Amino acid sequence: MSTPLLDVIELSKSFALKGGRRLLAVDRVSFTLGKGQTLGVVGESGCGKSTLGRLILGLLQSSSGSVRFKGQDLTLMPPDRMRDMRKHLQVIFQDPHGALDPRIKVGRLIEEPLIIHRMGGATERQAEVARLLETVGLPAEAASRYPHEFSGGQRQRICIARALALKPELIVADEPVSALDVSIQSQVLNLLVDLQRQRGLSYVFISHNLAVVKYVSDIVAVMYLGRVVEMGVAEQVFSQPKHPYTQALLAAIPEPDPDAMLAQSRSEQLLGELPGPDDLPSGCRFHPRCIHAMERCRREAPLSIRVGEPGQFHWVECHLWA
Amino acid sequence: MRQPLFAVDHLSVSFGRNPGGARVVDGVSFSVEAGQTLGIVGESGCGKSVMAMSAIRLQASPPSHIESGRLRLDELDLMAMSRSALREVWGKRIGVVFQDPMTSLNPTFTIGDQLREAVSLHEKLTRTQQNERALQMLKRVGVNAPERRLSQYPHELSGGLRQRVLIAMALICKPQLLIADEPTTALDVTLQAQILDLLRSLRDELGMAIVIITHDLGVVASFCDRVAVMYAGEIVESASVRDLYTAAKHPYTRGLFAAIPRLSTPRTDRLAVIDGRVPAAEDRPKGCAFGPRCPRVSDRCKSSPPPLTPDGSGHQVACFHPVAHP
Repeated sequence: MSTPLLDVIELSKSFALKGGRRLLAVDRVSFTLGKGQTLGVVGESGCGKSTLGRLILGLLQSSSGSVRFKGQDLTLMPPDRMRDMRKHLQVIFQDPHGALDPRIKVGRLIEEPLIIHRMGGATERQAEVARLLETVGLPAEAASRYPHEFSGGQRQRICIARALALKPELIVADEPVSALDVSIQSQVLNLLVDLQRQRGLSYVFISHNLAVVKYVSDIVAVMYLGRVVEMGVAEQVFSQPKHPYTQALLAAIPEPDPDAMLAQSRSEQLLGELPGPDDLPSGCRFHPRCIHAMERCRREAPLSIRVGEPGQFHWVECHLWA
Repeated sequence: MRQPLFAVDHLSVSFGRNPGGARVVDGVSFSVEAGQTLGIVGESGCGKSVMAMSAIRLQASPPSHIESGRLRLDELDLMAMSRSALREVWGKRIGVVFQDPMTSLNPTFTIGDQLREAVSLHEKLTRTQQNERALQMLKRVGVNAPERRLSQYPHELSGGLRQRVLIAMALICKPQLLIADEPTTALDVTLQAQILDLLRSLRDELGMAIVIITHDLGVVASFCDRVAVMYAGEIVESASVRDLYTAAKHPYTRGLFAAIPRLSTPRTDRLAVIDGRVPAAEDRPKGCAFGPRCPRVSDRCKSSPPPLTPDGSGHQVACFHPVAHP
């Protein structure tokens, strides 16, 4: 097999807290992502999904583990080479209002990465900005306007244009449509899917919205308190979720269909509240909230187990499947 | 038919320093019966929050002005009431839960202070009685260790707990009507499911009416009896949940449904989009506000706005060319 585009191995991040305690935000996460593929990362607030995204981009220093991009370990890379590497790794954030400097015109915002990486002369760059605006479905005149003149969906398009400026191979999209209205969400999702097809982009797509993640992802990783507890081909994970947490998450989504209502009260699938990541439970970290918890779950952390049909990529960390 | 508990009739609200400014809510009518839940759905800026807060006269004025409308809660004419009379009603007969559990609690007072205040404004109780009520309510909304919570400050609680405390505050005087403005939008799905279950059982227990404002069509499906869809300050369609979800007639409602990715949406399908954007209040078209984005638009739509018309079975739609269903 050829080298994957992105190979994340046992990546961890812990933060020091007051009183010498540690908060394990991301705990030994591993996955590989091929060219043109999308990895969806789902989980609730505080599960470490955004931290994972930042670690991949090198925006945060990892505590251990490695991030290999086309075979090169980004975690060991000296800053000057990392800066060069960033051309290939771009990011789109949730909040397109906060991500764009309100005092700078849109054209300049999109041009800036090209200036920083000394690409092309002024005229070439202007032409490129116009091309990028067209790519994301905005008129060329947008370049001479300020971010506040645009709606949320248009601003997210501007962010996408800026992320595309350096012709990246990988984009980490952290809740890219969560702040947008439904009718605008689908426009931006369609754009991201089109760009992937046209340019062979790979995405790490982080979201709490499972339906959105299922729609865009080839592979999906479900995170709970810093750990990926289930991963596999998206279709599989969503149609046959194995981890009780994944099952609870899926059951909790209110589907826009009155007939899809489950007879059972949906919230009964999950006990109690999410513990703080600075106070991880023993054994399986999901056991205090799990309706299937056994004695063993309190004592030992489960290993990852292959599930599903032979040869199918789907694994889960749960004693129920051991 | 039963007399509705809360009835809003032709409510119009404008924004500006003086009355007569841009209309953000335009001739909205709806009603809700005791024990019933009405969902108001729409995208940001459609006027749903302003409409709901104006309907209970809680929207600050200025900048907002109620241009016209009749607002009735049970035997009360809310339009005719003074601020001081309204203060007797807010919190006692009408409870309100806001979207953001982070900013809706006062960070400088304990949970106990805030719950006690909510009761003491309306009922003459001793401090011990107030504490009992607060504890009882915290237990009812599923807050664990309620005694300890009374002396805690909002920042010491998680988002989910804070939202439960807000619900406890809104319901502590057992109101007849609860207005919930995006009560679960800031929460994770699993928490959202818990909070909705809680509201549902409290509604049944107290027999109150709920008006929930949300942009999430999934929440509406699982939680409401009736639903009103707002677009650009107007109700464009209103029906029972089942009717709306199986036989939506307004092109906007249909567009919204088609645009949501669902777990059942195949990856190969392109998501439907509604082109364009919601017009700002000051430059709404003369005819149907959705006209410029509508696939079914005709000349008639451009000249005059379609009125909200009932079909005889409780389904109302404001469209000259509604989608037909067999």
